[in-house]
Amino acid sequence: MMNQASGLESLSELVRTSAMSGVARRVLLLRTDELPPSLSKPEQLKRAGHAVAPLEGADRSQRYDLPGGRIVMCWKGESAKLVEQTMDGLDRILRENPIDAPSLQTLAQLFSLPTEGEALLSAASAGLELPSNEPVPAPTDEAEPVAAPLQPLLPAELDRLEQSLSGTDISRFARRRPVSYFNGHSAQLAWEERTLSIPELIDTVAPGRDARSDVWLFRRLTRVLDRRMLSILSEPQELRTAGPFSITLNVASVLSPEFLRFDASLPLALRSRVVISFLPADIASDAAAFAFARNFARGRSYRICLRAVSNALLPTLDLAALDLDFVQLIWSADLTLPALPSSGKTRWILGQPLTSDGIKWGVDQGIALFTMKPTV
Amino acid sequence: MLDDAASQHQGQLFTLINGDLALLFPPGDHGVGLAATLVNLFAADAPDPGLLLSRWLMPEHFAELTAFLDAIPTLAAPGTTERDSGLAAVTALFNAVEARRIRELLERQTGVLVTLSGSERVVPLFREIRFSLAALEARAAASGHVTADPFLFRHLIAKLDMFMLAATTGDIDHDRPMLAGVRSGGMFLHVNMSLEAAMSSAFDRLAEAAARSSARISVEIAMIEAFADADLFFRARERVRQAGFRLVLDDVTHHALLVTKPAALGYDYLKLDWSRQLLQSNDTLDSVIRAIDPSKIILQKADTEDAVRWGLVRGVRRFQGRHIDAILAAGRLAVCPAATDCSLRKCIEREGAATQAGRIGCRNFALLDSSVVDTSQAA
Repeated sequence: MMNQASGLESLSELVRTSAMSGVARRVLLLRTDELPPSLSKPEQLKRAGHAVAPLEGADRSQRYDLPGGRIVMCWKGESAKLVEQTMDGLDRILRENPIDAPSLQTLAQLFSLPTEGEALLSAASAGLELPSNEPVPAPTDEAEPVAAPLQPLLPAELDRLEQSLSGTDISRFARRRPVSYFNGHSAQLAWEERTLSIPELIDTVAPGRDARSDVWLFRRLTRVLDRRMLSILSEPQELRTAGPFSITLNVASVLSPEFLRFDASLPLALRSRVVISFLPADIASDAAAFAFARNFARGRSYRICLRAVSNALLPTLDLAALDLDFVQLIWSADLTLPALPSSGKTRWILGQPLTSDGIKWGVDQGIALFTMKPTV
Repeated sequence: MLDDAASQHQGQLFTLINGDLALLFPPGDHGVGLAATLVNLFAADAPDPGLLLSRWLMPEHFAELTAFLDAIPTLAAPGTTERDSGLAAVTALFNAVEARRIRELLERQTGVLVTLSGSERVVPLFREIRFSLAALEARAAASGHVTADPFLFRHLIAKLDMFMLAATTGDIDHDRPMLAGVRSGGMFLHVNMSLEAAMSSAFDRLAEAAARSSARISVEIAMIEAFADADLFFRARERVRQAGFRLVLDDVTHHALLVTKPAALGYDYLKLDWSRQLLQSNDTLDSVIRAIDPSKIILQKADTEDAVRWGLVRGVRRFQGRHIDAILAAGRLAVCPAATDCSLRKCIEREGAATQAGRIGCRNFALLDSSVVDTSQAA
């Protein structure tokens, strides 16, 4: 079996040959290392690898396994249906965690040889620390026990899950993720994102179930979790010594009794230092309710963020009319920033899945906030 | 009715934890007519319909209202109770729905082009097939409201869409009455679809059936689907285009128009929801409508003459709604030889039926399904 470092060499050879002969090839680069931890469980990585299987049926198909778990598929002709099947398979994996997932274009890029040979090699090796002469060991599939595939969550089970959550202490699933100011040299903590580790929580209260298998049922579940999270944050000791933080809520949650209790318990020192994030679907679901919740929260001195905005969605938003304090972008190599509203109020946050390329790009674009750890 | 009243008078509808509904109005007499209508509505079945309704004026009746609410555990905003009725309703509906009887949950409605050249003319453009909210609610029965939670409702529709896609494909292939008027280059057939349905192999089968029968199809995808997963939306859009179908961005409210740039989503037509709130002057909205091109807008839920007039003033020419249904039915009755045995309401209901059972009583199916209508005698 070819080792991964030699896979990169073989790919270079293919690009050279194609350039010299002028023979056209289509190439798909799968960067599984772009998947966030929540989508990088062994069975998920394995499924990502299997997702390219349809392309093995294409004319003159060749597979290259690269370091970092990256895979390159090369074939002759268009094979649009096979590409679509592959993309469908990958997309299903991404939809298991739509909040943290990279865009499909980030995970899987298409190239045409010979014209895009350099771009292909650059993307295939970007961010890899390649050993000078030490061979990279071949992947050891057999070392990882194969977990049983998760079953989708059904409405009736969600009903039971919601009931069981009401009596479960979920504080141990609370997590913090730093957002930092970064100027290209040093990073300083701006605030912490307060979240719940939903995969761990579901694994505990509904083992074997995939809470993200349906985007709408998952959104429903987050409403229940919003309230539990707000209750945790309302505990007297929870925020006594806390620094600034952000929390992602559904619009309906901002109007809930739990939010009012949270608001009443918020220490004076944290007023104006808490960011409330919403997701884009909330705008399309009920734009009037979104505007009401935004104004209500801002009236209580919270700052407002729209999070998980992809490059594809960005052009559809009227940022001036949305009147936001922050827009948290999903980093992808094709990210293009529009002009910010002239009010000067709105600022970008460059979010996960963040690579060193992404951070460099963000700094070059003048972005100052990143979902990254502060420099120690 | 309560939803409509809340929308019309800027009120707010609350679902109480015991299933009661509370409608809050700003000062005025808005509730008086509604209460009388509700009493009449229940008069046939309820021993004392007056007991079904209570009215309080604030602040005079504050103590009475408080006493009433104290008898109930919690008053919460729609969909915000810890366990609202949505999950139970959706679960009950899934259990009740059988794929072979999906047509009983469907309805159809005709969209038109209003031309202003010469005498006003109404030209049928498309026929939309969709799930009937009333039928869904009836099937969920006492389990609750299927629309109580917008996200649960999207989940429900996404699943049911797969059934509808299969039913529609079968109807095209077998030339069933539901699709009368849309085969062989007649009216466009508008099919509602989730992204999941648009990406499925069932969509490919619909495309093949449409090609075989020369049916012209528009796919309606709700705006919320695009905002939930923009990457998937754009891939679905490409599939729609490759199939030779038109894309309609559905369920766009004027509130959403004011904070988004939907043109970036690349639709053929945008379905704007009519609301009486649009009657209030709004220069910003008018300029947004001009910018996105009113000829690309279909004003849906156009249930009143006000709605059509509002659209026409702004350059909108495509309409769909109960007022349009009435105009079309009046046009049919004016020329139908069997009109003496019919009524406007019956003609509207039969045209909207998606099953043969719902059309029973009509003696002129050709006219009922016609894509040509003469409304000049309807007035």
